[in-house]
Amino acid sequence: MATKKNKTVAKKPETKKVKKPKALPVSKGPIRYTTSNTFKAPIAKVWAAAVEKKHLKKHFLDDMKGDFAKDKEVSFFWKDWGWWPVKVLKYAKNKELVMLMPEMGGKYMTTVRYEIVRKDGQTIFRIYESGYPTKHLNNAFMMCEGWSEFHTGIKAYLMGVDLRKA
Amino acid sequence: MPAKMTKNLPIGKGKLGFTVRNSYPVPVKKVWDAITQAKHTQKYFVDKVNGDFTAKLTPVMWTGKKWGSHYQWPVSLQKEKKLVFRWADHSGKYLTTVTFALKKKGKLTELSISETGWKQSHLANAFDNCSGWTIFLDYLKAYVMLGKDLRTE
Repeated sequence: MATKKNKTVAKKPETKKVKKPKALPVSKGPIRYTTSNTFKAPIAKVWAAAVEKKHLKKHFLDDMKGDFAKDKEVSFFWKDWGWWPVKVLKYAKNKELVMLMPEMGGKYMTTVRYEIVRKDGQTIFRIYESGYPTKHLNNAFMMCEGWSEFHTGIKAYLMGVDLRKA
Repeated sequence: MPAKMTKNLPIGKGKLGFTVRNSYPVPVKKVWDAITQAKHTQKYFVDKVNGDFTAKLTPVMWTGKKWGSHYQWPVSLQKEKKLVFRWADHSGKYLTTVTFALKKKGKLTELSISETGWKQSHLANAFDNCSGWTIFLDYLKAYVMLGKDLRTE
């Protein structure tokens, strides 16, 4: 009886939103890593470049739905990979963003956290990703590469250059 | 900071390794020169470089304000194709093996960087270098394409 009841409760939110994809489990695998880079620009400028659609489209995404500051879910779009739904767990402007993103195989979600601080006249922007199972270590390395490029893409963008077109 | 003579450290045989890559719409020679010659590397990634990577396989020392001085010990070099060198891991106990491979693909020059030999217990360090080499590839791009130094931004 209890199981049945739980199932019903769990299903409800899904049926409400027509377009929402099947909820993926949040993976708690042990593989995690951190990427970081430093910027001359003040926190607010780096933050805006990292979360606002109008900036993201100029250095990282091909399109985006939703607004990190307002929505519980946003979506990233790349011509090569299609739409990727992103669940926003926490948004603290100019400080921290926590989100769940589907891994590249689409089987589960990993946890991605942005953290931004100012130290010694520099803005330090760190990205933490966690949750990969050991068997997907190589995917984690690929994502580490991807997020490292995200940082450098922002650096170049703040310099007026789109590295994707370089 | 003086660099430790790391040449005689054991070669890391750990199974951990990774590859990162990027491509550049410039001739292979331009990318090759930018990664092997001190006068270029200093302009986009390393604070100070002693020595060039040449067929003589003499060591190259990289000095960074953040990371101190590190020797890179070349193992093999095929001009404009491949460079393999070893350098000490973060613990200074063994050497990892780094391979730069270049390939012309249409109008693009592809460059991949692999680093292997990490111990399982040093996974976090391997991720650090995965990120570091990715940054290297991007900074290299800004340099060879636009003559820009992304370190300053």
